[in-house]
Amino acid sequence: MEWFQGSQKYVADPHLASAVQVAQALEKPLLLKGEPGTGKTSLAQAVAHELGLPFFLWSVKSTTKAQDGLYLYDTVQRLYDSQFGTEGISDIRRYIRLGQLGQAFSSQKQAVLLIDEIDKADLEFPNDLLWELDQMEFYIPETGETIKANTRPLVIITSNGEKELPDAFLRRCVFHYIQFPGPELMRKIIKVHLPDLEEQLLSQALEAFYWIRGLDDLQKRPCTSELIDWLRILRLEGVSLEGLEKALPFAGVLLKKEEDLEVLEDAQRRKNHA
Amino acid sequence: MLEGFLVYLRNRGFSISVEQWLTLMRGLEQGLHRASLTGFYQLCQSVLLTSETQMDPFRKAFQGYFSSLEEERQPSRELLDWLRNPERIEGRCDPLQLLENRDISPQQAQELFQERLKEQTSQHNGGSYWIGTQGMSPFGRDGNSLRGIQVAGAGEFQRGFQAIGREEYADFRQDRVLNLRQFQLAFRRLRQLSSQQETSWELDVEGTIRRTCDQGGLLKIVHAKPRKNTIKLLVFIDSGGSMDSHRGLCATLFQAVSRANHFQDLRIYYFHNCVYGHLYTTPACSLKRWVDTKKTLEALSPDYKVLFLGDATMDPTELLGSRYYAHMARGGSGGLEWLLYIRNRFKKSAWILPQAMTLPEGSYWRESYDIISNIFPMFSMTIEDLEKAFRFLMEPV
Repeated sequence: MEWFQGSQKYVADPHLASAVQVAQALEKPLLLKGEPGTGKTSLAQAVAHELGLPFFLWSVKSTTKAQDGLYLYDTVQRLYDSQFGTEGISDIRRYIRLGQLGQAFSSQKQAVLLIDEIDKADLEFPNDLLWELDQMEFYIPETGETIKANTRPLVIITSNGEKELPDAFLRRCVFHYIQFPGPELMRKIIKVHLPDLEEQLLSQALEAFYWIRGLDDLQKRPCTSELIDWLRILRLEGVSLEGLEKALPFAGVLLKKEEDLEVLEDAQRRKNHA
Repeated sequence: MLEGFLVYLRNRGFSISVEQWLTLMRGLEQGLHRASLTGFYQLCQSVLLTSETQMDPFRKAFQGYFSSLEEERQPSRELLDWLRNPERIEGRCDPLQLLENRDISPQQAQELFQERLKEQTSQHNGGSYWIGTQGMSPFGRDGNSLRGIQVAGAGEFQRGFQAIGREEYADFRQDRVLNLRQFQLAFRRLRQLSSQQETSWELDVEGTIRRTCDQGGLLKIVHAKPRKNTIKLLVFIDSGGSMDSHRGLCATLFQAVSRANHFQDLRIYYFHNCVYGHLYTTPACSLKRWVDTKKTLEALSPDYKVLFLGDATMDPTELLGSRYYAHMARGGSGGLEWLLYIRNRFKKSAWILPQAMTLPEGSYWRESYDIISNIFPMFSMTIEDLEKAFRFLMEPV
């Protein structure tokens, strides 16, 4: 088996890479938690891309039900067709639409399935998927068919911790918490996204960024994706290094809340004063 | 041979299932621990833990269990070089020695290891006594001994648990005071879906379409019970005075409460020192913005869940009421009577302290705390305690 080590586009720290390996080897879903913007969602894409596997994304919303991932029986279409005498309406299989989980199961090649933000759905949602994820199969009563995975897909699940997941579900997963990257790793990550960024700008921006993250009273600390956006704007607008030292231009890109911007202003005033 | 570790972890409150343990064993069989203690630690983390709140306690537990393996004396550079670049030899596994080493305790291994470190002066590969590679001694690298000390693993010398001796995850400990997200999470415990108790029905559009189509177009109406949170919450927040030092924390809790949009109704009032005849509607406790306590609360049904947020530390006279204050300024009653009134008016109430009480018994400022804790169950502002408080509020009366 091929192991995931990170890729050109995705910098994975060794802990994360080893968690992916453990999930691959033990054939268990990998549950990723961590601050928003630490690359939980993009990991699955990177793994699929790097290992050359087909990728299925099941994006969970508050109204999502477990059934949606398996299959949908399009009765309305069938009724509609029946009104016009379309051929083949007696074949129910024509009206079974597989969900992302169903498609990943029936993929010929081993697939990577991302169940994104599982905590958004109802509290019972993860429990409803236990059997399917354990056995990698499900039954369609309408047609009497069983959809079974040829090769177990690598399942990656992300959660922002909005809801506690049930214990029975957690125990079946390989758990990994993505730590917010330190300056060293962050530098590598930035290099991947903005390869030709000036060294000095990067250093100064990083210093400012980690200083902001360290402020106590922030409600929402800026994360990687916001830092990248900020660097893009700084470069685009040609902000001078002196400018960055005196004030923090475009801080609104880093901090989205008005209260947080006020916190930053206060902190800057104190810093300049001292 | 690791069962002791499982029992040890379970005794320390890690609820690890047999299935998880077997998964760990499967991981070890497949070599996912990469023949190093750090790798083993990471594998355990991946397989046995289910939440970031467990990471720090787990690190400590792991260290506690395996710390006896940590080298006291650092092996020399030369020794490490032999271990990293051994001369290869084949087939050196002695079953008898294997059995002997199996019963070595971590303490014995440690003692023997220290002894050898003092004695050893040359390279040893495939032996059963010295620190070396591939052999049967309990020390060294790539050996066949079941137990012992890994000296230079996975290309880099790893000094036992030093590599994992970091405080990175301390933030997530359950007993730590909370941040906004954690508050929000805790508040989600206050949820009771109406479908569980309500008797009214509403039209289930999805269900109706489905059943109708199933019948080939013959209309079939389907009803379902609505799913809405029926929890009504009444919050009293102590503002100002001794609460100033907890302002940040209280603001966070307040945000979590006010942003939680899943309550059927949410009322927030403020008080200064204690609740009296008037409730303030803003944290500034301005006299212009107050409402009559009795009138306000009488309008609310008794099934509101009541949450007090305050340090419960006040001058006893504020609670028990001197004659002047009680009758002139505070609408006729002392604070205590008001608290009792609220307790009796509503079915469930709890008191949240920003900090666990630390004042010694019998001290002047503690008196009010002791009195109030007899009226309301007290909880401090940690995840664990907050969850307890909410569970208490959710319990049937």
